[in-house]
Amino acid sequence: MIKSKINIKTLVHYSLLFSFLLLSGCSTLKTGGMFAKETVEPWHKELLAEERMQLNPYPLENSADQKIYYSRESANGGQGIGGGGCGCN
Amino acid sequence: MQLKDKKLKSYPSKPSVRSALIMATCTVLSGSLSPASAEEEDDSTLSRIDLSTLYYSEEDRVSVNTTHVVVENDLGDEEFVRANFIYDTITGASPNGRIIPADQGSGGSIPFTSASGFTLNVNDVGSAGQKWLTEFTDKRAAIDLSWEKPITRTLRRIFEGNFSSENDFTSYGGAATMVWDLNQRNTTVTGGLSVLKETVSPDSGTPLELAIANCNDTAPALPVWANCNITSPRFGNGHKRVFDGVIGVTQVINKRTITQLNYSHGVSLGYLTDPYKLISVVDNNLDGEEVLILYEKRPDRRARNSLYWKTVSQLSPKKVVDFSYRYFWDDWGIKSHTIDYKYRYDYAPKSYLQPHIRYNTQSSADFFHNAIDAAVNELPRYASADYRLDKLQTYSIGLKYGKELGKSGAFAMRAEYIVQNYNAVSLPDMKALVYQGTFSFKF
Repeated sequence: MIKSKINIKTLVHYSLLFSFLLLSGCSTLKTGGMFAKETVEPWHKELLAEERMQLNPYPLENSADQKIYYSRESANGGQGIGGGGCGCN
Repeated sequence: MQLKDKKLKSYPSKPSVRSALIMATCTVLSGSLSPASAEEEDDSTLSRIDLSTLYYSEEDRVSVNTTHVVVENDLGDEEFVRANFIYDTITGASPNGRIIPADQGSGGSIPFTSASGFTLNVNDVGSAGQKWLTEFTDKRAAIDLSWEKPITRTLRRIFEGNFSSENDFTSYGGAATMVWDLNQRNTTVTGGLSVLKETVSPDSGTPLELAIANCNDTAPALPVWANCNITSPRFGNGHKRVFDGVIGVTQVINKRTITQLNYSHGVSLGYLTDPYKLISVVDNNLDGEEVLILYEKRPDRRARNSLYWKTVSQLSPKKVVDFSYRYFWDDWGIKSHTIDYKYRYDYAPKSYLQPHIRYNTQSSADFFHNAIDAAVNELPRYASADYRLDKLQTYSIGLKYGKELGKSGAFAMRAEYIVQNYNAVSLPDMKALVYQGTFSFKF
């Protein structure tokens, strides 16, 4: 079914490394850094109110992923509580 | 806790010059977003329906079709009710814990009979003669209802009830969450508790843990402690209770970044053994020949902990990153690290692409054994060969395409490729593909 010559493990490792470097760069910029602390008044939250900026912007996809990994890994949870269980073999 | 569009309505709108320019640009590009149309959209979001169809397929193992529907109704004054309906159909074969013999074509030498209450199990020949797999089919229906209501201007609560049913498994429970906004809603403290009651009900009952499922009649010698002349008893359903609690803080860092830190603690009590999982007893004097098959046994208590950190940040008007890290540990000896990274790129005003990568690694449970040595004088107190309790790594990579449809609809589709490899179990890497389409409509 799946005949991929791409080594996904290498790809994921390098992608994560690249992402980490990207985020490190973004978080250390003198202006506009990701973690640059600034006063945020209520009327400054236009961007934060966008759907794509929510902590769980795509709940159906998140729900599917949580169930997939719940049934294939021993570690689970962390994001919150609620939701039913499954036999999940 | 997440911010919602409606919260903005409580405050005077004072968009920055930059935001105004962005909005003006979007207006020109899209030809549809204007202050008037934005107002109309706000008024139209009283209800919302989300639909999802998902296909999950593992190579030579399990396939799942899932339909998920969410209906949300805004009752006004920041009060919401939501209903989730999920229906799964599951087919395929799942590793049952038995070793894979060196000569895989033989499928092992034991004429194995009936491992479980799976739909197909009489004189089980496994999947295409692979006796380390057990074929099964199942269906699962689940419903989840929640009600979110403000208590004061800065405090709100969410109540939830859920129920799910499979051929051999039922689960029902409830959850209560309190959300407290502080510091002009730049800080949100969340606390919640949940309880689940779950019952596993195999057709043939639950087996005596670590009892003999079958003996290899052709083995020249069996362990001294093994008595193959008695039939292992079966019992009624297995019951467990699951309690979880979470406390978390969400902090607005700046106009473009929000971050969250959660600590979760959970305890599972009762029948935590998987009645469908087996463990081989092998004789190393016979080149690791499988001489017995036992039912597995797990402790009847498990305490779980996790620390979860997530950040969402807008790098530029077109780019949003969403990354999270979770550290998990429990008293079964499992420790796990999970990193998840999404990068959304809005290449057009209403269209975006979102690559995704995820990496998970876990250590094995203290009582995980790939097999039990026939030479031992007595059996371990607990033993499981479930591959999910082995040391393993999971790699995921995916791509999503999303598009807004008019003022109140949205469509997205994604594909994910997942590879999981194991340390002790000799299973081949698990390779899975996930396809999901979602559609949202506000009215």
